[in-house]
Amino acid sequence: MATELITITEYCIHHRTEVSFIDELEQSGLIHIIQQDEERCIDYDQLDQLESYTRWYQDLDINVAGIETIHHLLQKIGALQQQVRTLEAGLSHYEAGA
Amino acid sequence: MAFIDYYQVLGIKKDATTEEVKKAYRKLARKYHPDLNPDDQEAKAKFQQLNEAQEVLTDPEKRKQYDKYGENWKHGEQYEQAQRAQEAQGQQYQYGGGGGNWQDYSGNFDDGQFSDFFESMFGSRSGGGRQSVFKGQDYNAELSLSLREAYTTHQQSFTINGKNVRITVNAGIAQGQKIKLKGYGAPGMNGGPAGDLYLTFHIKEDPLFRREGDNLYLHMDIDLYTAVLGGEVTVDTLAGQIKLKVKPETQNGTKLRLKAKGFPVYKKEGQFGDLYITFNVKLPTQLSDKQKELFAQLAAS
Repeated sequence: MATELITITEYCIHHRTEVSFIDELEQSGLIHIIQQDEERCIDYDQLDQLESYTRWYQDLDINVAGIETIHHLLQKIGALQQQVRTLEAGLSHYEAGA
Repeated sequence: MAFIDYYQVLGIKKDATTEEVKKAYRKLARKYHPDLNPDDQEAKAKFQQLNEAQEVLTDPEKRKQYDKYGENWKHGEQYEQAQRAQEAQGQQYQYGGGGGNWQDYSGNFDDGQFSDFFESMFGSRSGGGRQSVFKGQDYNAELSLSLREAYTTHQQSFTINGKNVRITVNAGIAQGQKIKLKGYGAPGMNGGPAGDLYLTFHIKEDPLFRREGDNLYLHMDIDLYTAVLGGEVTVDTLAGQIKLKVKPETQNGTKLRLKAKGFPVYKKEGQFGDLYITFNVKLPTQLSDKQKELFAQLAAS
């Protein structure tokens, strides 16, 4: 499937956000910007993440450094939740056998 | 339907300024925002209330109305009007209907409805700032499979929001594994793409096989004579029947590993985990006198 792109300009208009915010996110490695012709774009696959970051920034007043920290912590939580699920599944075998 | 004290929800005084309302909202939203509390239904519900409280208390019109009627909100002029409007649009979302295995579809946090209290007082939600403005909302769904279904690559079809979806479930899918079906969420807005559907797989326990990662564990009964003298037994594995040699003098609880007879490795065709078999030696019961005598001879030998 061809990559679907959305221009940064369009994103910023819809989300009423500044380009400088997007630039900061890119500089911190949180999103990846693709250059197509004269336009800077992001892949649709990144839209979920970018919309989350924008919500945290706009609604919760969290700056990019904070977003970066949260991003790492959420990844850790995700891994821990997965681990808990695996452990719970393992435990249920023993409980069922008891 | 109960009255909700929005001031209490935000932990502010009745005379709080709009700025104070916003500040209190942000502080609590940082704690309860669903983005920051993955898979936490309680936080999600709390966040919904915060949004509601914020929407009412930062809108001068709504706040005035809320303050005026307070707990006597049912006397409000909009109540009856809202009541009628609600009845008119009271139809529920209908999901699924195809597979039969599908359970509990729920959207993500920002498609959630406001409380009945809010809707009765102010009518349908006017659309606060929380909703996605571009990409459509994502949906979440759960799919239950038996261990045997998860063992083979197979097709599943179902209907979601009028769209027929046919997916291939690859062999070896794990309990709790999530897959993303791109574009099967809510339609996008302002020309944006549709949201995605996240499917979480729930693999039911099997009465015979226990799965740990890609390995399978099986307890198998063998009779005393086969255990003592050795012989051959037939094992029903998920891949079919296998003949297995039992060594003479096999002890109770002996564990055997059958290489690559376990569970298929997800998306790695031809790769399998191992099957571990534990022998459970069954002692004979209801012995005849003759048999007892033979055991006595054995014991004395």
